[in-house]
Amino acid sequence: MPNSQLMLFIALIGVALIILVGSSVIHIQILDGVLALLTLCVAMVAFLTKNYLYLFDSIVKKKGKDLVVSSTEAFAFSSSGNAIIRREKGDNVYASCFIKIPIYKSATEMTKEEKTNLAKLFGRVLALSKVPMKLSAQLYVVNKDEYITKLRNTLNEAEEKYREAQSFGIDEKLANMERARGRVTMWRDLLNNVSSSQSKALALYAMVSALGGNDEEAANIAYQKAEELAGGISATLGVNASVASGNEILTFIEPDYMIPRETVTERIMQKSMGEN
Amino acid sequence: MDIDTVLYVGASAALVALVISGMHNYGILAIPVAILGGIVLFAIFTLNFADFLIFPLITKRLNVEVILSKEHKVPKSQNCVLKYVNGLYYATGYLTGNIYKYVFAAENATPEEGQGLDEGPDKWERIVMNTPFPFKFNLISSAEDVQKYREDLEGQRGYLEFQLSKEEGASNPNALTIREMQRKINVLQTRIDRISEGELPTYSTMYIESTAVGVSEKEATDLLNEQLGHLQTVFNAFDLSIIRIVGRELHILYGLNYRLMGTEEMSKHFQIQN
Repeated sequence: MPNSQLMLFIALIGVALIILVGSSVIHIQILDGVLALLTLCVAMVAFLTKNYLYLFDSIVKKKGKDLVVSSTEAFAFSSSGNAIIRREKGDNVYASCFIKIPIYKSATEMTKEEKTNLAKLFGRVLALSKVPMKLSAQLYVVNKDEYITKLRNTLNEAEEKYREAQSFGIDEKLANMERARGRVTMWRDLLNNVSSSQSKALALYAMVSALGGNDEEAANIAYQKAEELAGGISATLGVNASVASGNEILTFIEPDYMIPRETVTERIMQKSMGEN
Repeated sequence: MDIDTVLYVGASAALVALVISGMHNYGILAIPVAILGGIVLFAIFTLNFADFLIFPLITKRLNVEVILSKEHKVPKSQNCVLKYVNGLYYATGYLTGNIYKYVFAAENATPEEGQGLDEGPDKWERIVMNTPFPFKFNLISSAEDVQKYREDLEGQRGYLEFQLSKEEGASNPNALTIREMQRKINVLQTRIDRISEGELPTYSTMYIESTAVGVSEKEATDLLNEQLGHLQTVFNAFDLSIIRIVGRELHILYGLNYRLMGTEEMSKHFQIQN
C-alpha cells in the first residue's frame, strides 16, 4: 500500500480522535452531539480512503452529474512508437511496452508429453520477470477489408478475361473460355467464402510497465525491460518474441482495433439483410 | 484478512464504537448519533466485504456515471467500460478467472494434477474454437521476495515435519494422514529446491475480458452480457471460479490495459495466488 495513503488514513483517524476528545472536554450537550456526528463523518471518510481515494478528487470537483476521474486521453504513444505513456495523478509517468509471442503450434498435433511440457514452460515464462508482467491471449477479429478488395479486383480481372475469351474464334474460344470460367468460379467462391463470416486470430502477448521522471525516461526503461523479457521468452518457448509497435499495440489495448469498424458494419449489414 | 484491512476496518469501527459508547453525553442529538453511528458501522463492513454490491447501488440511485478518460466511461450499472467511436459503442466487461494452480505449478503433481497439465492446452483450444467473439485471458504475474518466500516455505515445512513426527509417535497413527503430510512436505521441498536452482517465486492474478460492439449503448451492453455468460460456460472446463467484476475493481482492471501496478498495489486490490 502506498505510504501516503496510509498516512492520510492515520491523519484522518487522528483528526477524528482530536474532535472526540475535544467534545468530551467541552461538556455542552448539543455541541458534544454535533462533534460526535462530525467524528462519525471523518471516520467514514477515513475508511473510504482505503479503496476509493482515486475518486475523492472527482467528488470534490464534481460539476455535473458524472464523476470525472480523468478527462484526458487514456494514453499517448512515445516518440519511438513502441511504448505507450500514461500520466497519473501526482505527475507519475508510466510507460508500457508489449511483446508479441508468435506460437503456431496446436495441441492437436502434440503428444501428451509435449502438452505437459508446454504447460510447464508457460510456468517458467511467468517466473522470468522480476517486475510485474501481464501475459495475455487475445482472440480478435481480423480486418479482411484489404484482402476482400484484392479478391474483388482479381475476380473483376478474371471476369474481364472470360468476356475476352468469349469473343475469340471457335477453336480457341472453347479452351480459353473453359479456363477463364474456371478462374472466375474459383475467385468467386473464395470471395463468397471469405466475406461470408468474420475471421478471427489468436495473439499471445506480454506487457511490462516502468515508472520514469519523464516520457522519454519511462519509455526507455520499459523498452529495456521488454527487450530483456522478449529474449527470455524466446529462449524458453523457442519462438521469436519481439517488441510490438504502432497499430500492433492498439490491437492489444483498444476495443475498436480488436473489433475493426469495417467488420462491424459488415455484420450489421448482414443482420439487417437477414431481418428483411 | 490482510493486515491493511484489519487496520482500516478495526480503527474506523473502533472510533465509531467509541462515539456510540458516549451517547449519554449528546442530549437530544443522542438518537441521530446512534442512527448515523449504526449506518457508518454497517457501511464500513459492507463496503469492505461487499463493495461490489453497494457501489453500483449508489451510482444507480444517484444516476452517476464514472468518466475514466476522454473516451472511456463506466455506466451507472458499473458493469462495463464503454467507448464511443464514430457511431459505434464498444462495451468491455471483465470476469475473474483464477485457474487452479495445477495448470502452472509443475512440482510433484498428483495424478489428477498431472492430468490437468496434459489437458490444459486441449481445453484452451476447445474454448477458443467454441467462442465466436473476441475475448482476452489475462494473467498478471510478479516475482516475490525470494528470501522471504524461502523462509515462509521453510517455516511451513518445519511445521509439517513437527506434525508428522507427532502423528508418527501417536499410539494409533493414521497412515492416510502421514502419507498426505509426506506429500505436502515433498511439494514444499521441491519448491525450495527450485528456488535454490535460481527460479523466481511468483504471484499471479488472472482475469477474462471480452468486448462487444453495438450501434447503441444498450445493444453493446446486452451483447456483452451474452458474451460473458458464454465465457462463464466454456471456461467451466478449467474448474474456474468465475464472477462478473463490477464497480471499483472494474476501474482498476481498465487501468491495467495501460500500465501495470506493483505487487504490493496488486495484492491490495485483488486476491493473488502463488
